[in-house]
Amino acid sequence: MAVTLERIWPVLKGVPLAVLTMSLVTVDLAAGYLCLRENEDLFNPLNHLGLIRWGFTYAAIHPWKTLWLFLLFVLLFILAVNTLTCTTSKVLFLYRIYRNRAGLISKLFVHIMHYALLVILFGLLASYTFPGRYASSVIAVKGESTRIPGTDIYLELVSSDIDYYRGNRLKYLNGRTISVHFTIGLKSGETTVARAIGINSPFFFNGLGFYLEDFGPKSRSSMNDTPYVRLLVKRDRGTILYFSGTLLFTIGLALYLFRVFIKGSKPSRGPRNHGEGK
Amino acid sequence: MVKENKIPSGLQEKTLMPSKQALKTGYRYTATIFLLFFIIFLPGCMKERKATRNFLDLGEFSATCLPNGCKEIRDGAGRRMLLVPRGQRPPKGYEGDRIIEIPVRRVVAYSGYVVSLLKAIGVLESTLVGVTREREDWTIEEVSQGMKDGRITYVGEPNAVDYERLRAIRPDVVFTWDQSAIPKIEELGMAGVITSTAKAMDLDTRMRFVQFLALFFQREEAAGRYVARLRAAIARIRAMHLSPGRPPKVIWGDIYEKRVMVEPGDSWAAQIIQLAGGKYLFRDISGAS
Repeated sequence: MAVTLERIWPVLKGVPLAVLTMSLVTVDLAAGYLCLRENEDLFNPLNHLGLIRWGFTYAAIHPWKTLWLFLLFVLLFILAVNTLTCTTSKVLFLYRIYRNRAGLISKLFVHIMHYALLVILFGLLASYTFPGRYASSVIAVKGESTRIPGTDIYLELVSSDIDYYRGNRLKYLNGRTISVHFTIGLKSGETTVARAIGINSPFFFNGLGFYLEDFGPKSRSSMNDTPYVRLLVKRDRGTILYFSGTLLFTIGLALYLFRVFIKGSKPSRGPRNHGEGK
Repeated sequence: MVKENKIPSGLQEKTLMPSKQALKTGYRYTATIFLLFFIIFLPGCMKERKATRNFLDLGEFSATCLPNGCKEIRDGAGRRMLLVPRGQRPPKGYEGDRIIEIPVRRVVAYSGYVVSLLKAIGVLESTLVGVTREREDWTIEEVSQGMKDGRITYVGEPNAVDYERLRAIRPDVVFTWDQSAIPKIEELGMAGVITSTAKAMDLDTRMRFVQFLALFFQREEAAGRYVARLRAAIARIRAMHLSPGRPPKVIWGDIYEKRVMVEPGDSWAAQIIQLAGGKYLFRDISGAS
């Protein structure tokens, strides 16, 4: 086992593997863009079902249209292994060199960012693999309280702020929504709170994530002018991980920039031969 | 006098021109990538199944079989519901979900299309108790007669439903396309099911929507026979190879005061027109119905 690891380690951490994998990811994503564009309703349920259930249902029925996504997971796994082995090699090398000298910690800042990327990737995978049993869409309007299935949480649309486009520059957008902000009232037992939500701007309450899926009216001249929101509610198990990864990345980046620009230190090149050191 | 920029011969050979071996490797590498692209992409055009043994995919609707004859379904808005045969208990872990006992006995339908499908699977007269159009607007004889006899109630226009009247007729399920009506319907103790989708249904999804509806009435076989009849009719039309010398230009939509609403190019209406040899003028538009 040790002999095998010794032989494949240089391959795993090598630049050629990184370049090849990233090229294949690019190709795969190009194919995936085309599949996704033509088959949106095939991939939307991924948010509700999670990767495993989705794989055994929608993906099982449409294997060729979803193959690119599973290939992407394989390629990202290879890329993650490559990043992990390369970064770990460099960290070990730096530790050997600077073990009894000052300056070890500051040399590690850039590698913290690499590890943080892995944490973010893993968090996203956890988020899609385990959406929780009660991932479902809930519709809320003003004046009506709706219970989230499987919970004792009631929600209601408190207020809506929809901006419609007015102008001559983009006539086809005239009267259509360009930005939305909603306030959602939540009640669980004795606790009552209000939270703001918008497009790509979810909120979290009692361990559940609330994501804006749909809303109305979408235009001034809509047939039905009653404001409503449709929220995807799910227990997102990856949130802590990818927010932690983001925080770690930000810290590593800030410290690295501080070292380079404020203290004036030159960036560490690390070992020439990808971690082997001489 | 022009100076020539002579490049030392040694440098020219080693750095400006890649070796033949490197070029071959590069070509092989590029060819592999393009081959991979076509392997991933082209089979996506192949026709695929629509169901496994336990799962039915109907575009944005779906149904998953669970133990004890129960089914987990998702309506057009992605809302999850559990269909449980009367007298059965829901499977473990689903107790907190929206539960609908089947077969459903009393139904209100917003859409004339849903009403026509209820007739297709043979449950219209026994289950329909409310509609959102007045008696004079109906061409389906069973509905018109039902309203005359008092078995079917007009509950008001879709954007102005009389919820007191709706509560009075006690439906088990309200089939509606209006998402904003769902909270009120659920507050009145009824189940609301969204029958519309964010994107316009294509012809195949539109035809097979009856299979989703049939789950509520345990009439899956009747729905299957209906879909088979529709497919046979479409196949007959295709076999005619209709291609008039000058295809008629067609639009499909509704004209209201101050607005015209049309079906998008990827909708079932546009596909029907093209199948019949027409030219649908809004074929470049996609989106909701």
